[in-house]
Amino acid sequence: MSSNDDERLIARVREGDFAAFEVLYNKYKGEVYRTSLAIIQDKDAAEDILQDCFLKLYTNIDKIDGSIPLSLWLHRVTVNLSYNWAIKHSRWLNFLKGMLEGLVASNPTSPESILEKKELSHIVREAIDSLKFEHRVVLILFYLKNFNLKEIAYILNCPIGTVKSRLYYGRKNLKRKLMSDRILEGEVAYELP
Amino acid sequence: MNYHEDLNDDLGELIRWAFYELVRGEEPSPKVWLRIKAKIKERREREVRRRLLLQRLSLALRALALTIFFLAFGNDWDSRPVEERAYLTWRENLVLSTMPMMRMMIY
Repeated sequence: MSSNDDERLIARVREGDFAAFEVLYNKYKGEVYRTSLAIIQDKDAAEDILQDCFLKLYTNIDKIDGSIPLSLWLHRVTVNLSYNWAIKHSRWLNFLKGMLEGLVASNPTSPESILEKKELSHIVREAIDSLKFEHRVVLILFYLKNFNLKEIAYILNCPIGTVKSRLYYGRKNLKRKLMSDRILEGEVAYELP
Repeated sequence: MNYHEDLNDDLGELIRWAFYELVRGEEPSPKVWLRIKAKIKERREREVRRRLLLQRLSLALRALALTIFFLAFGNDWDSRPVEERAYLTWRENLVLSTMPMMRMMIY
C-alpha cells in the first residue's frame, strides 16, 4: 500500500469514514508498537503509546500534511510519547530481563546455542540500554526501522547533522561498552546468529 | 566506502540483530483497538453534549435578552421623551447598561 493509498484513506477519515481509520490502524499498528517497545521495553506501556498515537492521529487528521509519509508522522509521535513515558517513569535504563529471556528461550535450538545467544543478546541489550535516550532512539530508528538520515531528522525534528552525530556517538559508546564486556575486540568477536 | 556502508558494519549488524530479537513476533493486543474505538466514541459523545449545551445556553441567553427587552419596553412605558421627563426609569437604565451584553449575545 503506497502513500497515495494513505492519502486516500486519510481523506476518507476526514469525511467521517471510520472503517478507513481502522485500515490505517491495522496497517501501522505493528510498526508503531514495535518501535515503542524497542524504546521503552514495556509491553503495556507500548500498547498505551500505540493507543495515544492513533488517538492523536484521529484528533489531528485535518492537520496531517499529505506530502509527508504517514509512517514518519506516526513515528515522530511515537518517539515523543515514548520520551515522555521514559521521563515520567525513569525506567528506560532498567532491563526487562524476563522479557528478553522469554524471547531468546523461544528459539528451538540446542541448549548451548540458547545459552550463547541468550548471553550475547543480554549483553548487547544491556549495552544498548546504557546509552543516552537520544542515542538509543537514533539507533532504533536506523537499525530496527531502517529509516534513512533525512527521515530520522524529520521524526526527531532536528538537523541531519545532529542525527549523524547521535548515531556516531551512540555507536562509539556502544562499542566501548561491548569492548569492555569483551564482546568486541576490535571487530565483532562472536559469529552473528 | 560511504557513510551508510560504514554504519552497516559488524557492529551495525549486531545492533540490528539485538533489536530484531527484542521485538521479533511482537504484536499489540486486539484490546488496543477496542480501547481506541471506545475513546473516540466517548469523545464524539462529549462533543455532541458540549454543542448541545452551547446551543441551549445560547437560546437561554437570547430568551433572557428578550425578557429584559420586553420588561424595559413593556406596558407602563413612559412614552414621553427622556428630556421632558428629566429622569430615566429603572428599566431604561437596565436596558442601557445591558445593551452591550445583549448585542454580544444576539450576534
